[in-house]
Amino acid sequence: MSPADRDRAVERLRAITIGTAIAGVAAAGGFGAIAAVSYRGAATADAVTAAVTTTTDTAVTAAQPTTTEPAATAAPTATSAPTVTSTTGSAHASSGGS
Amino acid sequence: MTTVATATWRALGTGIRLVVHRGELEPAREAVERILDEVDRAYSRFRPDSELSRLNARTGDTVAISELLADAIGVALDAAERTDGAVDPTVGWAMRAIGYDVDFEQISSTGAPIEVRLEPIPGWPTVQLSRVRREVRLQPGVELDLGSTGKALAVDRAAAAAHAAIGYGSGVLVSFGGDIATAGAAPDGGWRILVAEDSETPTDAPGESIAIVDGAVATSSTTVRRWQRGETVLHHLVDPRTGGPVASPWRTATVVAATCVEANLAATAAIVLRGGGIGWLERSGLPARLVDGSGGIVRLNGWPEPDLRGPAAA
Repeated sequence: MSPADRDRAVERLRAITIGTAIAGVAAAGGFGAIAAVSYRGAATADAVTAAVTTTTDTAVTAAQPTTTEPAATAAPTATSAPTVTSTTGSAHASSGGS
Repeated sequence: MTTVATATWRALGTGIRLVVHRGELEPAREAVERILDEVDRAYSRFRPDSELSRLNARTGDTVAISELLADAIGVALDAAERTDGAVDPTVGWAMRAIGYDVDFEQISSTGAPIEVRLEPIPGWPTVQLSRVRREVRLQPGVELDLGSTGKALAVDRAAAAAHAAIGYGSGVLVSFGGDIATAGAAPDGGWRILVAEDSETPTDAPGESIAIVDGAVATSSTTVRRWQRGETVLHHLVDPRTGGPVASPWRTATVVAATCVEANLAATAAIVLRGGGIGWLERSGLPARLVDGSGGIVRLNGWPEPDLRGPAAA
């Protein structure tokens, strides 16, 4: 094998190595993206609820119910509210106190 | 062409209404009745054999509970936290103290004066819940009532179950005592909902109607589910600060949200929060309609002015 042949072989091997590395990164990203869109968030919801509702006896003793209007940071986490329009005619249902 | 079918009946001490669009009524009704039965056995306050009644009798112990009860308590605690305790499930003892200790249909509308010692409710932080382990511990003296968010959660579940039972292309509306959830396809023009003080109001009665194509509607009111002892009028919305019926600038609050739980907690908070919760509601972004003691109406967050053209607005 001539020096020129050896250099070409080394270049080819380097290109294959780089290509494999890029493909590996892309595959990992792809799997990550698939996992992200597949994850339904149940574990997170559980963890949040558990953290919020698990209290120590000390905290319980100190807590008192209040009904002052919560600060802005405590406002409800509004999911996108449905659009409401005005209408007429016989209704499908009545909403009222019960 | 009529594309909806309706069934009405009574359960859990309130009126049940099921409306099906482009689907079979019977399987949807079976699904709703299954949810009603599950809810009744899990968290009825008036059944001594319900899980909730047995839990309330075991304060101080760590008690294993079903997934449904864990979900219902979790939803109630979440509502309490988000409303700074205005919608709080630890009102059970207070409810009994003011005379709401049996199914409402068994409560006499009038009666002799009663002596009540009012005190602030224990507060939601006295409930320790692990949804992961499905265990809960109530501090001694704490009694849960999941009536508010529990009913809303049941409506959300019932709508989802009914829709699943009748399949793709269909739609359902489910109402438990005026707390309403929808699932699937809406009829042309959306689900039409009459907004009233009383959920028993006939659907063709005059009044203000709205339409939604998805989501849920809930109403809280001090004008229904009330009773009188001596000269004192009592109702079921308890003020956590006093343990007695709340005195609110609003007599009725109706809210539209993505889920009935969201709508219910916002409507109840509007009644209970000091000052009427206007700022809280505005920050929520949820369309809301509030009726004050003299009948004045406040509309927030895109709640539409009534359409005065048709017979329903007469």
